[in-house]
Amino acid sequence: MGVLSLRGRCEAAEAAGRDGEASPLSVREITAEVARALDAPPPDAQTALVWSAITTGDPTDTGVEATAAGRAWQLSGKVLTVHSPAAIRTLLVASRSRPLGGRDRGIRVHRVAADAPGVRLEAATLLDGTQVHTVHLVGVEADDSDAVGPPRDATPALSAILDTAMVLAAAEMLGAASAAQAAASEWVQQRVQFGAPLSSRQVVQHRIADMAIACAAVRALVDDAVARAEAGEPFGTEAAIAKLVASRRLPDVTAAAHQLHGGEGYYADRPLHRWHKRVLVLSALLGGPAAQRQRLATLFSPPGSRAGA
Amino acid sequence: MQRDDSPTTAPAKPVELRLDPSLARFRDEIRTFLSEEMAPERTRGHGDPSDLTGLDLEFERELQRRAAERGYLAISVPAEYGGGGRPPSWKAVWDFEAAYHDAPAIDTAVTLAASALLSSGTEEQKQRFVPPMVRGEVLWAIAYTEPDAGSDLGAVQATARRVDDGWVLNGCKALVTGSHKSDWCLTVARTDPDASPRRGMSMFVVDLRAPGVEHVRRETANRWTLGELTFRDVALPADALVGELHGAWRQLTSALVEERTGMAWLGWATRMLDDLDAWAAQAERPDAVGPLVELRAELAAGYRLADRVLALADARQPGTTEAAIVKVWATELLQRIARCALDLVGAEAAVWSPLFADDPPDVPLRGRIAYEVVERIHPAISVGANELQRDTIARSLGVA
Repeated sequence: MGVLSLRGRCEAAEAAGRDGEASPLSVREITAEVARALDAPPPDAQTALVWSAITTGDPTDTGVEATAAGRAWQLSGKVLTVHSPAAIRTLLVASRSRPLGGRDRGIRVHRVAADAPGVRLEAATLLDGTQVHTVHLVGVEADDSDAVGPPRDATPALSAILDTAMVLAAAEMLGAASAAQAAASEWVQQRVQFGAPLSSRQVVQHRIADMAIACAAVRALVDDAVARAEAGEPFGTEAAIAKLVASRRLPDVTAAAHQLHGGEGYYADRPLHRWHKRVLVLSALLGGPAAQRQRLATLFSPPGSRAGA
Repeated sequence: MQRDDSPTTAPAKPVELRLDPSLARFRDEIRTFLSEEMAPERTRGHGDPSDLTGLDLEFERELQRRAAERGYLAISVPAEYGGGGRPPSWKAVWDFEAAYHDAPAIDTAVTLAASALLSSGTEEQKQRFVPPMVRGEVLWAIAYTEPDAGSDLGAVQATARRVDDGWVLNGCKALVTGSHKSDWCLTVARTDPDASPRRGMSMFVVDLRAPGVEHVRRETANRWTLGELTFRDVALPADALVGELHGAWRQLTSALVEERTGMAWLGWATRMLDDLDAWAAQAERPDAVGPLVELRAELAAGYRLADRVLALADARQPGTTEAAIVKVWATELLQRIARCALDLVGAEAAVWSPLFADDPPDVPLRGRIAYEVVERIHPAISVGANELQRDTIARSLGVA
């Protein structure tokens, strides 16, 4: 798989979260990883990944449907990229074929020129300032010569990438939330109101403690997923749990840091909002909590696995 | 933001404010006015993300002038100063509808400054300053907070030194909404350096174009700006003093209560839930119904708490604790709604847009969810941080 171990990548993602910057690991590198997993050459800096599982968290959901058109395929769909290069020349498009006449070939990834007929890119900005695109595809032609990697179903490879991405996203959120908690701890000890530091109030102490508890819980889940991965065991369920708990609880931590900082903390030249926004964006990617709950429900109780499930 | 779905076409909700017939007629009238004024074709080209209202000054001043012409802007200001002479609940309903329609008519001169002047000013000050507010001709800001005096106004350090023909004002004021566009502000400064602020602080009107007033805009997390004012030997005339010398503490306490009927917060919350209901129906998301119904029930609680605050205000009775309860409930409900929207919608909800983009993104609620999730951080901090409201509530229960 990757060049670095999952543990090393988690540490790097956490550091990126602390810096409050969009991580090159949990988002940008996924594109390279998809190419690697499919035995294709690394994509250049002007390549964007079009695979809606990055937003939905469901590895089988491509967001793009491939319809057979003679020997070629016609790709149609609408997908939000989660990170876009400044100038996009090439799209790596994951698509599912409509299972007609036994031609279900699972998920395939094609290289498509960004200026190909039927491609429309709509620029957008995420709340943390990340530049993204909504990619609209209408009957875009692709054939086997455009395929990335040998002709085979990419679902297992993409599924593993998604598990890794979830752990990395949780680690990055943890870095941001921990940094916000540390900044809040420092602030409440130096900020004097009503004649005493804010930290002299027990309600403030407890709020800081709650922030630390949430961070500790997510850290334990991330470590667990990493340990399973290092032992060579499947870690999809652990990854999904870490991502869901981080998505639900860590925005509370960064929001609490804002509340403790008062008005001064709301300014853009202060770091708090970057941590809060990064946590919010990552909570919504790879499936927002609503989608993650449904995914976890199937991981906990696969259909037919258990009576009464 | 441009929207196809006009808010007034939404079916009546089982959860509504309880208004008497004459006030309900007023609400219907201002709904029609605001939905026409705020129609996409009217706001197009006037977006300004650097202002809290999301709209440029030309649009804001024009809307306020037109609302004033119809008597809406100062509906609860006494008739002798040109207002509508209606009870405070009428102004509260205006705030609710203005918030619901994203109209730049909430932080108006009347809202921010009229009540302090009417309750504490001299007759001359009222006659001079209030009628232009009522006509929608001026913008005011309030500049009480300082870098080291946020929730704790007892820590104010600005000073006003008595001189022969008036006062000399010095100090720094922070987190001032709309100071870049305002004509005047109300401020507080220490007038007795040897006394505590409770006994030695006074309120003043300041002409923001006077020599010695310096102004810096600082960008917030959601791209609009707040102002930081520096007063350097600003000469104030003798009649700039509002209310009693050294009496600002008591005046501030009553002025802040007036800001806090909570109706703007409830207006924004209602708008978000209406938009989210429309999204859930259109996107066929039955799993969203439960969480949205629960938030709607919490909104109903907000309405019923506000009913009580408005009844007290109309009866001119104190309602400090009731107002504190509404403030905490409504501002934290706004945060829960925004977070729930992000959780339900997922990645597309993270696409951000200012409120009045000419070319809004093609995502659910057109970028409003991301905007709200960042925007709703500050109501729980401003106008008396929620921690202070909880102090008030605990004290009222004898727990202190």
